[in-house]
Amino acid sequence: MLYDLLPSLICKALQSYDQTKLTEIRIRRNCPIVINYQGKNILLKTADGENIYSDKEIIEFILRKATENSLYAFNNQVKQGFITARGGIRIGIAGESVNSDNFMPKTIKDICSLSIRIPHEIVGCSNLIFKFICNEQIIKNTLIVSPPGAGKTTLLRDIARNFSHLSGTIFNVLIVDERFEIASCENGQPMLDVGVFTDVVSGASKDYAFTNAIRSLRPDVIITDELADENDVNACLKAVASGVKVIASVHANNLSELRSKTEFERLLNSKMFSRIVFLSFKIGPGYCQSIFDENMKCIYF
Amino acid sequence: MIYFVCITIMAASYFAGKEIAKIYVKRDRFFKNLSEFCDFLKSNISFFQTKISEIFDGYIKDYSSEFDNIYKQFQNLIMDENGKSVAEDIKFLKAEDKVTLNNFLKGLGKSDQKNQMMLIDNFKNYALKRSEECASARRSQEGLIFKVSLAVGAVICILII
Repeated sequence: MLYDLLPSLICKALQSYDQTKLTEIRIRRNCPIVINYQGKNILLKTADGENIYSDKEIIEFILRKATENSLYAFNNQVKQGFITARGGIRIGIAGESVNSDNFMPKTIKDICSLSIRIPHEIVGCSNLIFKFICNEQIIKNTLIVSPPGAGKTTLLRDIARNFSHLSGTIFNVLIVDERFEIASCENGQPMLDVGVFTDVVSGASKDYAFTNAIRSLRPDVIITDELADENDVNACLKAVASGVKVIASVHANNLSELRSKTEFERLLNSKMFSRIVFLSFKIGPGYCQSIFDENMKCIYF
Repeated sequence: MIYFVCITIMAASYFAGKEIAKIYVKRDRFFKNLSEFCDFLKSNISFFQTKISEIFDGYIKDYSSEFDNIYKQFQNLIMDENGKSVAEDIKFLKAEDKVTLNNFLKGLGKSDQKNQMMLIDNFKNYALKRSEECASARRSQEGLIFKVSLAVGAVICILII
């Protein structure tokens, strides 16, 4: 999947690296290409040891491949600063925003930077956490907190999978995959293993997907990625008020950072989440540092 | 022997006339087909936002026609990053048609939905206009081409005799 997106020069250079340890490729116009390998940023080099520089053609090539020559089908994503290519590969983009009269972005032009994030499927990475989330067939509302790149999405995917394997009963799991990263659906079919009792709504906002799916799909638990603003928080509160359990993730380094955002402070004060899981880079992506209950009492360290 | 040669020449002239006249028919059918393809593109792009390659696959599968191979060629060349001319091999098209078709195909998938709709609408209008022109040229020239062809055959026969 990744090699389908990249020019042969970069593909050749990447062949000497273990793909399972490669998490990100940074491409900036007329600058050396940087990869994140085993958690460290390093310069991508040719076999001769020369730095590989990116240019306009390389960026256009990747964009053309990622959008499958169908930019119109991705414009809603482009407006939000990313493209999700096949296989759940998320490409963050930076360029010049083209705004409409009311200053809403219409698209991004002159794209000069790409951040290609490579998803990894780590089967079993949630086994430890899962018993805190789902015990004796009772599901706990769970918030997974970590800085970017610490494995929230990988963990959420494995939690969804584990509901089909470890829960001991059949729960209707719904994944609200706003950015196509958790299940990486193609033509509606998940390309990554998210379990056999899982429905996936891709590309829709959390607010829209939560409201409609609760009415029509009757999920027992909703799994979603990256709560970002008040709308997302409200969607979660509404879902819980409807009797549906929620497992979500959020960007923050620690509890105080999380509390500094008003909407999340409100969420924590509501004691909606009975499990708050903190991840860290200490051992690798998906490493669970600590788990707190709704009263912020540490139950795992 | 001479009569046999003459009959052969006249038969060849007859079929040559038919074949030349067929070019107009084929061109007319091709442009009509292209205009239908534009409608298919529009509905798939504006409503479902289907990707270009999948649109071609769907069209070839659901609306199979004598031009399937041409559409496959278009599809392959649109997806090919080298961006070389995509209409060179179509013998029955005029040079200006090839340029217009080429520009249209090169523009597919390269802009947002609104601009794609404009591109497709413009090309559909062009295809319909060319189809009408081909139909009109066919009506006025089909008989003439056939007669000229037979006349050429007859002249050759007379010269031989």
